[in-house]
Amino acid sequence: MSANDLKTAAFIAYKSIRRGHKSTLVLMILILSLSFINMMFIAGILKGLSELFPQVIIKNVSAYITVSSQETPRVKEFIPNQSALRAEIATIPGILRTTRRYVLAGSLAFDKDQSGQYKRLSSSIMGIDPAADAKIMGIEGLIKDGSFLSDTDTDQIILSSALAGGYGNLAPSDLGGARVGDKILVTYGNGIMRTYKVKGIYSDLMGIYENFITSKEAESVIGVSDSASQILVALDPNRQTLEKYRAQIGALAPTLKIQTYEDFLGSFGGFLNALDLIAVIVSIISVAVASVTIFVLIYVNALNKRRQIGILRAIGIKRTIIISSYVFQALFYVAASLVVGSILTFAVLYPLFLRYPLNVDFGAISLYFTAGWIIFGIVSLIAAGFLSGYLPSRLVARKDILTAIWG
Amino acid sequence: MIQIENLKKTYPGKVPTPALKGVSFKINEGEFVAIMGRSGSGKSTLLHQLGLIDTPTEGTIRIGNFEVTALSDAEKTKFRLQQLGYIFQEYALITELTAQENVWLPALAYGKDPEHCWEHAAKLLDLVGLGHRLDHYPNEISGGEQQRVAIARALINSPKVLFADEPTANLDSASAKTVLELFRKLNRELKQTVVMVTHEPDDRRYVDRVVWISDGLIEKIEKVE
Ligand SMILES: Nc1ncnc2c1ncn2[C@@H]1O[C@H](COP(=O)(O)OP(=O)(O)OP(=O)(O)O)[C@@H](O)[C@H]1O
Ligand SMILES: [Mg+2]
Repeated sequence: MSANDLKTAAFIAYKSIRRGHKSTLVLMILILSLSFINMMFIAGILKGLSELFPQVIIKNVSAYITVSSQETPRVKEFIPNQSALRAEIATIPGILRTTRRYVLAGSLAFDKDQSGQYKRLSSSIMGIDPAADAKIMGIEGLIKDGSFLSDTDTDQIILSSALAGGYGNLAPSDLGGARVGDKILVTYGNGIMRTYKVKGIYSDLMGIYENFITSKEAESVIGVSDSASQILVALDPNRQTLEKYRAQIGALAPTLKIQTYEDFLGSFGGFLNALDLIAVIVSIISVAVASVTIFVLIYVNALNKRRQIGILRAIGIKRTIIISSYVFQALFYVAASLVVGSILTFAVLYPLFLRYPLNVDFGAISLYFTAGWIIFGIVSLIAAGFLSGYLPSRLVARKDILTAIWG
Repeated sequence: MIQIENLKKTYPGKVPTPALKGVSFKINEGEFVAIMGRSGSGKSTLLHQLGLIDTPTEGTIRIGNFEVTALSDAEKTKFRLQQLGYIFQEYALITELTAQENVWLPALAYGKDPEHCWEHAAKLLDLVGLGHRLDHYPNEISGGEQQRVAIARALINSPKVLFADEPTANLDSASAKTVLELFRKLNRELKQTVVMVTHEPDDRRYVDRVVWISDGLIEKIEKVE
C-alpha cells in the first residue's frame, strides 16, 4: 500500500460517506455510540458499586483501622486504660478521632404475644459511646424506626432490623417481629440478665447482625471500667498509607491486634471480583453486538455495491484500495460514534450521576471510570470497526470481476 | 500491437459452455477494429479476455511487449489501469462520484499529479462534449452522456488500446452517432487503437476492419474500404 493508494482509498471512502444514505450513517452512529455508552455505563456502575463497598465497610464495620484486644501470647478480653491509649493514638498525625466499643456475647429473647413462648437467638451486643461513635460510624444514619442511643441510656437497646424480624431482611433466625418500645430480655455470657426497651431499629442490609447498648451499660454488666474490646480509628487516608498508620499505632500498642478495613474487606473479595467479571462480560457482549451490527450494515452495503466494486476493479483499481476504502468508512463510523458516545457518557451521564447518585440503603452508587476501561472500550470498538470494514469488503472484492458486475 | 493465439474460453458449470473455441488474429497499432457476429456468438467473451477482466481457458494474448495472459492477478489490475481503457455496454460509472471525479479516479489511482489530471479530466469531458456537466452525478445526466463520461474515463490514462462492448446499444441513434464519431476522431487524430464490439451492420463504415465471429470461431476478417 503506497501513500497514493491510501489517498485513493480515502477519496472513495469520503465520497461514499458524503453521497451515502444519511439514514444509514445516523443508524450506524446511533448503534455504535449506544454500544459504547452501554459498555461505559454498565462497567461504570458496577465499578461504582465495588468502589462503594469499602466505604460501607469503613462506615459500618471497621472504621479505617480497628484496634482489638490482645490475642497473643494470651487472649485478653479487653483493652485496659483505653482513654489513655486513645489519647496517644490521637497524637499521630493524620488521625482524626477514635471511639471504643465493647463486644459482648449474649442471647436475645423476645415474647411477642406475651404467651410465655420466647423466641431466642444468640448475637453480639456492642457497647458504644453513642455521641463519639456516631462521629465515626454510620449506625445512627441507618436508624429506620425510633431513635439512636444517647450517652446516658442504660435500659435501652438498638436492634438490627434483620434480627428484629419482619423487615424483609433475611437472617438465619430472628425475634419474630420486635418493634420500638418492645421489651427484650438479654442474657450475657457471664450469666447476667437484663431487660431492655427497644429504642431504635437500624436497617441492617449488610447483615451486620449486631445490637447496640451504651458502653456505660456494658461496663455495669461486665464490671469493668475504662476498657474496650475495640478502638475504632478515623483517619485521613490521603496523608499516609494505611500500613504506615498501622505501624505507628502498633508501636503504641504492641500487644494489640490492629486491622485495617482492607482486612475486613477480604471476605467480600470474591463478591467484588464477581462484579468486575460481570462488567467484563457485559462489555464483551456490547462489543460483540456493536461488531455484528456494524458488520451487517457494512456487509449489506458492500453487497449492494457489488457492481460498483466490480467496475472499480475493471477499471484497474486494486483490491487493497477498495478494501481500504471500506475500512476507512467503518473507522469513520466508529470514530464519530466514539465522539458522540463519549460526549453523552462523560459530559451528560456522568455529571448527571454525580448530581443524582443512585441511592441504595447502605450508600450511593456513582459512576466510576478507570482509564484502562475507557481505553479498552475505545480499542475494542476500533478493532470491531476495522474487522467489519475489512471482512465484508474483502469477501465482495474477491469475487471475479464479471460475477461482481453481472451477478 | 495485439496478438491473439488460439484463444479458448469455456465457461465452467453443470454444462460447460465453450464460448470461444480457438481464436487467432492480430490487431495493428492505430487500428479501429469492430467485432461483429450474431447474439451469443462470443463477442463479449472475446472482449473480456482481451480487456483482462476474465481469464481464458487456453491460448495467449500479447499486448505490446507483454504476454498479458501470463501476468499475475495484481499485474493484470495494474495493466488495466495503466494500459487499457474499457467501456461497458451499460454505463458503468461510480454513482457516488461526479462526472469529473469518475474520469479523474483512474489517474488518481495511477499516482499521476492529481491537480494536472483534474484539469485533464475536464479537458476530456470537454472533448466528449460534456464540458458543462463536470459536477453532475451519474443520476443527473442522460444515458448517452453517461456513456460519454465512461469514454472520457477510459481515456484518462492514455491507454494503448480502447475496448468498447456495444457502447451504443443503449443509446438513441443521435447519441450513438456522437459516440462513434468520437471514436473515429480519437482513432484518426490521436492514432488511438480501438476495439469495438457491435451488432449494428451500419457501424462498419467507421472502422478499418471487421472481425466476424460465429459460434466461438472467426468466420472471416473483412477489410473495410
Ligand atoms: N458467465 C457465463 N456462464 C456461462 N455461459 C456464458 C456466460 N457468459 C456467456 N455465456 C455463453 O457464452 C456464449 C457467448 O456469450 P457472449 O456473451 O460472449 O455472446 P455475445 O456475442 O456477446 O452475445 P450478445 O450479442 O447477445 O451480447 C453464449 O452462449 C452465452 O450463453
Ligand atoms: Mg455481448
